Amino acid sequence: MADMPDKIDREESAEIGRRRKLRNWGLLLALVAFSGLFYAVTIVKLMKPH
Amino acid sequence: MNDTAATAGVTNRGELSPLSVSAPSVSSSPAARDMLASESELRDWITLLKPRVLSLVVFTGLIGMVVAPGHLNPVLAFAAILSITVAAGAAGAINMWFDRDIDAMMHRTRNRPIPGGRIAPEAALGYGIFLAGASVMVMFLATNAAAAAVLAFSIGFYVFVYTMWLKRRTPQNIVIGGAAGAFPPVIGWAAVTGSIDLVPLLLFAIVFFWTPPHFWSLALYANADYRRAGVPMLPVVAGPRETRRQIVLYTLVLIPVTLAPWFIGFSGLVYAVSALALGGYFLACVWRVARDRQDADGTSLTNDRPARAAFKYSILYLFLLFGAFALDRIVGVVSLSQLIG
Repeated sequence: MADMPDKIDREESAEIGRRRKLRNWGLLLALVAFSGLFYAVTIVKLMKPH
Repeated sequence: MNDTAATAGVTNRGELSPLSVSAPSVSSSPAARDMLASESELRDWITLLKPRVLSLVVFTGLIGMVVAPGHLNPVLAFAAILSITVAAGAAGAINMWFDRDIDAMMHRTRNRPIPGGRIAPEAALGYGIFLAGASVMVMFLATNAAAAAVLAFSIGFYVFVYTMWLKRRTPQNIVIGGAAGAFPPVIGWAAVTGSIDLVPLLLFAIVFFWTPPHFWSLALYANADYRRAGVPMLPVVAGPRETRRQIVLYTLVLIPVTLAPWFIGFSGLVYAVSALALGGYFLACVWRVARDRQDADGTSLTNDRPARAAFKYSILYLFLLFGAFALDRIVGVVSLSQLIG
């Protein structure tokens, strides 16, 4: 990846921040969806008559 | 040098320090521009999963589930389809990790996240392995061991057999390796029934024989890219003329294979007529590819217009064929229930 820069302007800083924020939200959403899926699968399996 | 500019810094939480920014009017250093260019976007992580390929994978997997005898709870069916989708994406991410050197050489792929420098290769590999493992685990928990085993096998087949072994060694790479893309209907069927029958194997065979004409149509007009990257695709090794001949031959084999579900009595006339009509048009498309105006070396003089059209139609063809297969089953079930009622 890129070396640490000496100077960075405000627009670039804002853009980097935006990308990181979006990535973090994406990861959060994926984790919540994954947990929800696990919960739903467990409930369905528990309801299944044996 | 502007006085407001300060030394750049990143806090230990990975945030850019407020003191690190300079006034917008001041141009930043090349390193800052590199940093911005190497900062991946969310869409880069989605691109790693090859989303354009996934639609066909999801659809054929779904049809495998729809036509299978039995019932699967909708939540579990959703989990199964999601597993197939994520597994295919994970295999794609590992493929992009392995092929990053040749991707960088080809026009079509050089802006992918890894050759573009926006995602580190090891991060892409970790992402792919994690998603592959998670998808197999979810499939096992939601459905059964058979479906999870076939899913795991299909990922392994795509990564080890196609990507690592065949792709750079033989022009038969997509013939044998194409089997990886033929697994979804088998997995869908296994998710519902817990076993593998003749019908999912026929669906497998349909996708298997469809892959060469589909992919070689693309390879005909992406020939220069593959040659540059040293990938021994059929047009590179055997030339465009032989490729066109092979496309026609595989399509001629494909059409009877698509009729096999009707021959064994699993599908009815709706499917048989659709398969014949769709196959007939596919044959006409590939015949135009074979008859394309070409020079003495077989290079197209029409910018491979027929091959481009055949490639586009081949995607529609598989969607419609599998759609007709499912429709035929649904219509069949309705008429049978009406007869019984």
